[in-house]
Amino acid sequence: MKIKNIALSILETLKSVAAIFCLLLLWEIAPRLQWVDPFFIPPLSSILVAFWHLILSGEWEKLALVSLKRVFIGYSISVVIALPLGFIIGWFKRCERILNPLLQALRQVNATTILPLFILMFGIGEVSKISIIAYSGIWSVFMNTINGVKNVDPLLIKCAKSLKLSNWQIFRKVAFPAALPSVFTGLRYGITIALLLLISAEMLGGTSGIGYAINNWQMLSKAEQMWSGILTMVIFGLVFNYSFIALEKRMSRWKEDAPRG
Amino acid sequence: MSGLTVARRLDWDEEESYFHSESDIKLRVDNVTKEFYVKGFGKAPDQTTVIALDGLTLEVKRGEFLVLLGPSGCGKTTLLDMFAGLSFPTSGSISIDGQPIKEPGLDRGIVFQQYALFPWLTTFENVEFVLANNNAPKKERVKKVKELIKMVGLEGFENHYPYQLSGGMKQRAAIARTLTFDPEILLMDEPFGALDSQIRELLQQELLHIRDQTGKSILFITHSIEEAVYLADRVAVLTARPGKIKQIIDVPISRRERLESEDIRSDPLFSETRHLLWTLLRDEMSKSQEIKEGKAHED
Ligand SMILES: Nc1ncnc2c1ncn2[C@@H]1O[C@H](COP(=O)(O)OP(=O)(O)O)[C@@H](O)[C@H]1O
Ligand SMILES: [Mg+2]
Repeated sequence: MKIKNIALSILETLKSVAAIFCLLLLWEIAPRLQWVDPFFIPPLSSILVAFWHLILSGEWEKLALVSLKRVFIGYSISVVIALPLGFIIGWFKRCERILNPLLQALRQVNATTILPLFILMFGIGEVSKISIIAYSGIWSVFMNTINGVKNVDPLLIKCAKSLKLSNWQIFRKVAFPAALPSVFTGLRYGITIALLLLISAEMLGGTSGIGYAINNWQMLSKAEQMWSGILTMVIFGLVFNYSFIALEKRMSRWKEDAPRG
Repeated sequence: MSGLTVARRLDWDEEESYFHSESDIKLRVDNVTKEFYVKGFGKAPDQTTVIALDGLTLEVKRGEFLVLLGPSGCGKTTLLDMFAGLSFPTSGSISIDGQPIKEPGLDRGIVFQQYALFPWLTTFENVEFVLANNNAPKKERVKKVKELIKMVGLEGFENHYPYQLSGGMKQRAAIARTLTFDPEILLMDEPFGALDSQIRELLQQELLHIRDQTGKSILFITHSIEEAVYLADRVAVLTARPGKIKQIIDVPISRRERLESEDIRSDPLFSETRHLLWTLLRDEMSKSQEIKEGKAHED
């Protein structure tokens, strides 16, 4: 039984690896055979060579660090604001009922839509970039935290009350652990959106960072470098996503079906 | 045949002395009425009043196993919530040892139909929950938890999460959790209702053993006649909603017999009692059906 399971999962992994491998192969062949214009989509190998040179010259590290720092600060601000507020609003039902329509409306304000407003308010420096990243990351953390706290099984609350727990104890020992899986899902969505907004912000008004560089290379028709920048973001996205999924799994060990990528 | 019956009834009378005296009342429900106010919506915007319980009077004696038997929707859970101190009567009073119930307390242990285990805690942690919450000394509490886990037959499953346990095991863990703080009275709301019949009978038997070992007063809610006869010293039959006591009957089977007999369920006395309860409940079942259908027509 167990061996069969392992065999099956190896097979699954092989299949998905095979899919990626096919895509990479196509990426190499198609430009060389002129199926696509190599000026826009160069063969993978030449992109990787360019990527390697960027790393060797130290340019990649500089760009990546600037971007990562922005995401880190912006996202930390979203978490610091959204987590406590989410727990408080989710816990106090009346609070939630009053604020809900307002939150729903605010949430509809797409972060990219108001990016120009942020630039108008804070200029094109770090403040506007970090605040737009923070703003974009807040919502999913916030909403998922509220939902996690709000949707605690009422029977568990009833049971805790009958076991003579105080309200604070019920919050700490029942609502909090019950909400954690949902909170971590929110954290994961949050970082994904923060990465998206990082690139938009850097492209729209910036002189540094991966987003700026992608834009710049595009204007200089340096397709290999541009693709290196895009790959960088794909890698960042994957790394963040999978680390957060791992965290989420840890937090949901007690659930029948832990979340999957 | 009749001789046998008399002998058993004598046996039962002897057992009466177990309830030290008539005045030894553990739990008293005095003329309790409970109304819910339901806000209307849509086509029927008026507020309506649902009378769940209507002048219910009941006593549970110290050490007694009393079963509340009633059709579904007759207000059993409503009553239990009030015992638990989670809600309060609209009129009338409920008291334990003569003291009105004002809030939840660990003198009462509640067992819910849906187990109410904390899904993020292991069996051990769930059973330990109340002791840990009250900062009981670590050594004592580990000892007690182990003891109770053994008593309910969950050894080897200490580190399982609830989702890894069967329904019967979950309820065993929930019962063990309740026993950790040694309540004087157990309040059980259809605790075996969601289990299949074999596990159900097994747990009923185990519950009788636990009662035998701990001597607790137990108020047990069910809508199963079979279960009522098997477990109860006395059965209080409730009417359809609004619930009140229709009749209270003594089950003429001794505690010893239940524990020792191979197959008490096929005993003629068992069948007689079952039949008596069935006739009492039959009318109420059809009434509660009418209430439901009437409601369906209104919608
Ligand atoms: N909070 C509530 N608000 C309105 N009606 C309720 C509420 N709780 C219970 N009821 C009503 O009271 C009646 C008794 O419910 P309940 O005690 O759960 O029945 P039982 O446990 O015997 O099946 C039902 O008709 C139910 O609809
Ligand atoms: Mg009920």
